[in-house]
Amino acid sequence: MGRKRTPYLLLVPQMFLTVLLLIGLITGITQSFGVIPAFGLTEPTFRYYREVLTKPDLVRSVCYSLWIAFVSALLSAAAGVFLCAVLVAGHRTKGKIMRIIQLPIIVPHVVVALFVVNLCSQNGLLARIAFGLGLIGEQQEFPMLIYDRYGVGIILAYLWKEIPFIIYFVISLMANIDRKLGEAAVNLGADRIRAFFCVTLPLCANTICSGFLIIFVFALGAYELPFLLGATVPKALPVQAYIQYTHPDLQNRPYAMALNGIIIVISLLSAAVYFILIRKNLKDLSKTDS
Amino acid sequence: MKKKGKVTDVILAVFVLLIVVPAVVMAVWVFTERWAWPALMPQVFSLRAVKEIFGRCEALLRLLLSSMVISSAVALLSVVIGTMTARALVLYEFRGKGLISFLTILPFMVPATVFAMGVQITFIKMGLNNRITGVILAHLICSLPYAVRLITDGTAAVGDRLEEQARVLGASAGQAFFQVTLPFLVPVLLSSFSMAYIVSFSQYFLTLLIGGGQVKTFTIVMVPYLQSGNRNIACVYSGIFLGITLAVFAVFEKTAEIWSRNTDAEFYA
Amino acid sequence: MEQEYGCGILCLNRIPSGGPEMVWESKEHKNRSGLSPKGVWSEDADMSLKIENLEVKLQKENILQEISLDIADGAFVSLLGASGCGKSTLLKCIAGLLEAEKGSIRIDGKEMNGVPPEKRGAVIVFQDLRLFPHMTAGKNIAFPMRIKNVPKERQREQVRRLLEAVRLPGYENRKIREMSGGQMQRVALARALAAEPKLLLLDEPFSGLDENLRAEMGELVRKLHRENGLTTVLVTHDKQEALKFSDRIVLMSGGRILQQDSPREIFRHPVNREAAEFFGRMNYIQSGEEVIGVRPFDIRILPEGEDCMVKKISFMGETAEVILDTPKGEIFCTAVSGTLEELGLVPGSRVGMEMKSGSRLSVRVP
Repeated sequence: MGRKRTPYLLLVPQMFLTVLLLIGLITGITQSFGVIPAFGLTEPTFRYYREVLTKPDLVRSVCYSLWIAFVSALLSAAAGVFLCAVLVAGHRTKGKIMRIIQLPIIVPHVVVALFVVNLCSQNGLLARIAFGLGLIGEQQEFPMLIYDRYGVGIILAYLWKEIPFIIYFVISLMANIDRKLGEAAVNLGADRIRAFFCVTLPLCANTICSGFLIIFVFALGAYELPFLLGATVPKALPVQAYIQYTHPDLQNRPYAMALNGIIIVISLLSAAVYFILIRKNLKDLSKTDS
Repeated sequence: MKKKGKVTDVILAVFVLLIVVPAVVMAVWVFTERWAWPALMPQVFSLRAVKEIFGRCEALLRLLLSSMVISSAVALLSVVIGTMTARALVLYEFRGKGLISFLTILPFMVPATVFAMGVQITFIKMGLNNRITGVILAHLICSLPYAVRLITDGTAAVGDRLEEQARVLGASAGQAFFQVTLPFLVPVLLSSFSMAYIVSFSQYFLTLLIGGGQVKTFTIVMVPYLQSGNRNIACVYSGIFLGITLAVFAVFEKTAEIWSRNTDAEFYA
Repeated sequence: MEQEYGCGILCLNRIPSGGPEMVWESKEHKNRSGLSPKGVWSEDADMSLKIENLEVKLQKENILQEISLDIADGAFVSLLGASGCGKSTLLKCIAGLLEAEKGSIRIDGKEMNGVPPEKRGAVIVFQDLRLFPHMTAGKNIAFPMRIKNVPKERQREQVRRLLEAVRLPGYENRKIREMSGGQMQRVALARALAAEPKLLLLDEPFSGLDENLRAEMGELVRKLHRENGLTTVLVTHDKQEALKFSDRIVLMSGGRILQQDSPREIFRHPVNREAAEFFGRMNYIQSGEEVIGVRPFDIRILPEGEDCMVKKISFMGETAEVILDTPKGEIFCTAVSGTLEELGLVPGSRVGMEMKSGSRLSVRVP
């Protein structure tokens, strides 16, 4: 009988934390429908969602956040996979170079923001180099890379941090596949590049997609970088949500939660896809094992 | 073949440069007094910013202490709970396993901002707001999935073969885990600890909201300097904290390496 | 691999050439071992292990059903069956690593339901040995004693004694990965003995070894069994191993016990075709109302006679397989190849045949 109870006992602390997480989520969702009994709001309504999705500045926030998240995730995944391939091809999947590549993983986003300010602002090193090369005549001619409407600075910061993440996430799988199957494919007459696209890449696809989703959801919901590097208008979703959340008029809180609700919907959809992907991966793995 | 090797080397060199340059620029800023447009190097170097921070030695120490205590506690709890969860998920069959394994990775997919704004009321009700325990608990929720993921892989690799053997030879469940499995898990546990530490250490929003500005961590202290454009102070803080983190990691990695060598841990060879 | 070795011919060919070695030796062992035959066959109360109506499910699939088994104190019993028949599951169940759905297991008369593995006194030597790779050979052997807080001095003495018993004297400080397969096997065996089990369970521990080493290890196990009088259960899919070493064989198939008997009985009087064929090829011959089973080596080819024709001869060294076309259908027999040459048999020769007396098996044909 002991064996049947053991897993549940082991899971007690995990479940405590999960319940806390779910409470946070559920509170957010109910509040987004305008149900906050403490503030005298009890009628569920779609009003806040309707308003959030029709107010021009809030709609722009949604688009701005989706744009940043999508471009960051896409470019990170593409560049990460490319560099993975280069590392595998050059047999550099271990050792010093990997150590350096993992460095950005330990750097907090706040510090990355500092890096971007140091380098990309109109007073930054890049602008100085551009001036030195005679590309620009004065400071103001250097394009606005931070605090700009397209979130270039934010995307650059995410790329610096997340490309190494993708590499870290994919490299061991790719190196394994390349070692086992790459040779076979080459032996069968495919050149290295064809072998990569026909064999290695499809087999890594699930893992790469998972990595993409993790970055996408993270960039969609993260506060630090848009707060530190983003434009005044439009504001990213989480920044906008926090402004509404801390608004002196407590009746504004449902707006914050509706904005969060949008993030949750997109996140949960991504979570479902992610879970299906890793489940499939696990199944495939166990199949090849047996 | 030779030629291709060169191409990959060039690409990797550029990439490594892109990673390293920002860190170097930050290091330069630490000692910069004046760096007027459009010079490529600062005109005046000084130790003003460094002295300013170390001048308030006590404040710095207190910040270091609270930051590291929070992140270490989060990391330690992540490793312990992560090990328990991983064992349940890997070594046992039970009802609701699929759902629970989904819930364990859910925090990957729920942004900390959303979670923080939703849960703040609950934390206030539980009396955890503005307290270190509250911040630790909130960070733990974000760090745990990383630990669970890593330790799950580790536990699956070690398996329960040796534990079964220890059990039939007379060891209790606890003895079997601590004497037989744990030595092989140590490297994974160390990297999980590092990962969880980083996740906690990097949190800004969650700490801001749950800690209410009362619980001071590195990010909370640094952001105002960054916002006010006080770059060299921000750079000094970043330098100190990154330096400490790197040192701790290096020690951990070395420990893991030596440990694996001594235990003949073939599972991770 | 082993399956091929076992498939009838090689095992049976020893009968005419070197005498009925396996049968006799098993008998001899029993005599030499000085084990009292008490309880080996009888339904005595002096049972080391008593299993009643055991049923085990894993992931909702029935793995074991209606398992009832009595093993006498000091007996050497083999659980024999093809891979996947549930014999390893049964072993894990006895040791307490798996929980049974139904039924009871008693060790030395004590009900084991709910008793954790470490308190059962049933030690398994697994197929993959499971030596602790982070400990030396000596530490591995000392492990069960360290758990029991046996004094250091006594531990050291015991390790030395056990290493000698398994013929590895002086190997205390050897690292596991520096040892050969056979040496690791001995360490695993010594470690199991160090736990002073009431019941020694061997889960195909020799299957990874080559043939010579396997025979040697088998002898060692048998010798240790003789010396210690330890109740031993050997799981194997190798019928020779089972026939040679056991006091009793429990033949399993599809999660059930097919038959349990002495090696000689089970070989001579299998309860059905499946049990019969497990120990080698059979000829089934219609004889009036009933069908009888005859082992290939129990058929003698006679030079005189016309009613059979040699269809095919496969030369196999000491022996040869001959397929005869007879009025009762095709019959498969084995013979010493020298005899065949003396008879000058070639495919197409006409011969007679006879069944050796006492070769009829009481096979119930479903």
